Amino acid sequence: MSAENIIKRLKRSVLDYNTDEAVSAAKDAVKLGVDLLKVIEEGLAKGIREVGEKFANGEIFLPELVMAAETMKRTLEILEPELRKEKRERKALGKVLLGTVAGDIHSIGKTIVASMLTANGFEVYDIGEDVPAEKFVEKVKELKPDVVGLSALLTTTLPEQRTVIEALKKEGLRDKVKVIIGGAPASMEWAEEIGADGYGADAAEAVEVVKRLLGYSK
Amino acid sequence: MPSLNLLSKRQKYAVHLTSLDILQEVGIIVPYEEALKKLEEAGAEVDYKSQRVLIPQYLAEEAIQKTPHRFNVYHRDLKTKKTLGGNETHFSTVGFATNFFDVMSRSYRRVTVQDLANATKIADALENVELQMCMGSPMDVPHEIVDRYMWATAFENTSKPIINEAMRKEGALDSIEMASAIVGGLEELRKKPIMLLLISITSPLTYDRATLEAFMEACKLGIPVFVNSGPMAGATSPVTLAGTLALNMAEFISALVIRYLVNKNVPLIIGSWARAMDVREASAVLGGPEFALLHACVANLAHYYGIPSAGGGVLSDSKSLDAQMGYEKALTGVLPALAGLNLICGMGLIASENTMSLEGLVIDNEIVSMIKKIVNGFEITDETLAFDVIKNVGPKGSFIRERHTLEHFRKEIWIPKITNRAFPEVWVKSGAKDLWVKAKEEVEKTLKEHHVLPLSTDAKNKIINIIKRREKEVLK
Repeated sequence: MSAENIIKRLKRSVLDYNTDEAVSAAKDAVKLGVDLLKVIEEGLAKGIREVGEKFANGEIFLPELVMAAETMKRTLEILEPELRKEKRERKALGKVLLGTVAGDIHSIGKTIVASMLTANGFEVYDIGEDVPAEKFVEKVKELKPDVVGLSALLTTTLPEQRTVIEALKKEGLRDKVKVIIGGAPASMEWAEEIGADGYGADAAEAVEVVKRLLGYSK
Repeated sequence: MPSLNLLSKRQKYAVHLTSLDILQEVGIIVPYEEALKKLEEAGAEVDYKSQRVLIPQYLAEEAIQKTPHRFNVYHRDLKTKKTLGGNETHFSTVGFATNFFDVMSRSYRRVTVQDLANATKIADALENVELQMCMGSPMDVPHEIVDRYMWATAFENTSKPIINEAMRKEGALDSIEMASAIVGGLEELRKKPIMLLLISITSPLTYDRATLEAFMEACKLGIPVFVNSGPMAGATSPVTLAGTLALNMAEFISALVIRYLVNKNVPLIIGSWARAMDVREASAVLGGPEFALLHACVANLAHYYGIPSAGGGVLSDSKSLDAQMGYEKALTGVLPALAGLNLICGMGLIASENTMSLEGLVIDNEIVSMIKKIVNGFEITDETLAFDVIKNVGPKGSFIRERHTLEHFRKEIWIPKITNRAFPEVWVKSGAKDLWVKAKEEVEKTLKEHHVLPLSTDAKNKIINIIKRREKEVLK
């Protein structure tokens, strides 16, 4: 089996949302010792970009987008540790850390933002729901993301977004990352009030905001 | 498929008996000698002077029983077909508007042949328009032969089955000649009809001669007939909806009798436009609750008889593409659909069927899509009850990443085409557009991009010649 063949399989399985096949192709790639960076860029990344375009054009829908992103994530879980062994790193547009703030267990909106960012070429770390401020701080130190996204669906948990930003300031991390916020009760005004860098009213806007903050668009 | 019954068996029987009494004791006016003779021979009591016919119960019953339960109509490709009758519900555009609504300037003007061509083409592209009744009656051609222009425009701009009127015997013959030219002869047309000839009974209980000529000609040649009757409660029928229903059904049964006596093989579908009169404006109400109720009941009675049924629905009296249009179209569509009316006609027109709107047509397509989803309901199986999935995800989990979601969402969740469900902020940022703006974009895109299955040069020439022949007669 050639590298070409593995690239084809990976791209196809992302487009078909076939997680099992993608994982098996990734394992074959490791076994055969082919260029893993090339496999990621030509296979996975191309596949997921195509999925992102189809979603933007209205040809496919959220469950498909999410499953394609999931397929990519599961495949990278196999490929990235191997890359690290080779002391190499994949080139993403940027690294984004996402989480739902403390006291809030809602995940759907964040999952969708994560999928959209993945489909647009970002490396996404979703650290889950009900995440306390200290955990955000710890993960920022560990993963060194370019952007941190704070999700809150409840009016009562919205103030937690401010708490996380304050915690980042206290640790001297605030100027090292961009902070974006989202969720039904959030707004541009709120973002300005708590000193966040950006706000997205929906997942598509979130992608635009991240691109703008990282200098990919105006 | 859910089937809504608004009438109990006892109530249906009561309506039925009243319809029979109407035919036997009140009778109908049939101003056509040929028809009167046939009715008399079959046992009806005929008064040739007043042209009034009393139809005995046994003849009415026999005609109901012998009406074909269902039949097929075809697209011009002669492959795609729609079955009318039984448990299927289909949707059609409606006819025959003389006005055209320009949504940008909010103004009305007369319908032209070009408007009809555009509307027909858009309806050809819309997946929920299954049959096409000619939406407009153009005002820029000689009135005497407007039906020929309508048939020709329809055949050229859609491959879907056409429902249209014809004027007198000659009009019927011309339309059948056009359709025959397209499918390769009358015999083929009889086997695979691409047209239904629409005839109208004038309530209460009256035919006109031109209608009877066209009706009998279509029957003789074996072309399916769409019989329209639209008594108006309080004006051309009793104000009570029950009385209107009985009169409406009596009129339909009279048509079943004529069909039965002329050609036992020809299919027929009844089409109810039973409605109320607006007691302020003296206008016919096509978007009201009575309209929805009556056609659901007609569906129930047609199932009771085992005959194909059609009627008005997805209609509105609104003069604009506004909230009134939305609720009237939705409600007059969904109720008859749930009751199992086989063909619901109303797409494309607003202002009580008086006005064509291209944007309205696109919105109707969305309304019908939603109605179909409601009527089709959902499946209950182990797979769809999804206990294993629920167990696997568990409390606090999410179903969005489940393969079960991926596999089932397209069938389970209705995906709109133009309906807006964005967050308010996103909607405001993208221009705070009303639905018609989106519909207008669709109209422009479809007119530019949609290609209709072309007619053969031979068929096209034959159709042009039929029109030329008639133009000479009219214009001399």
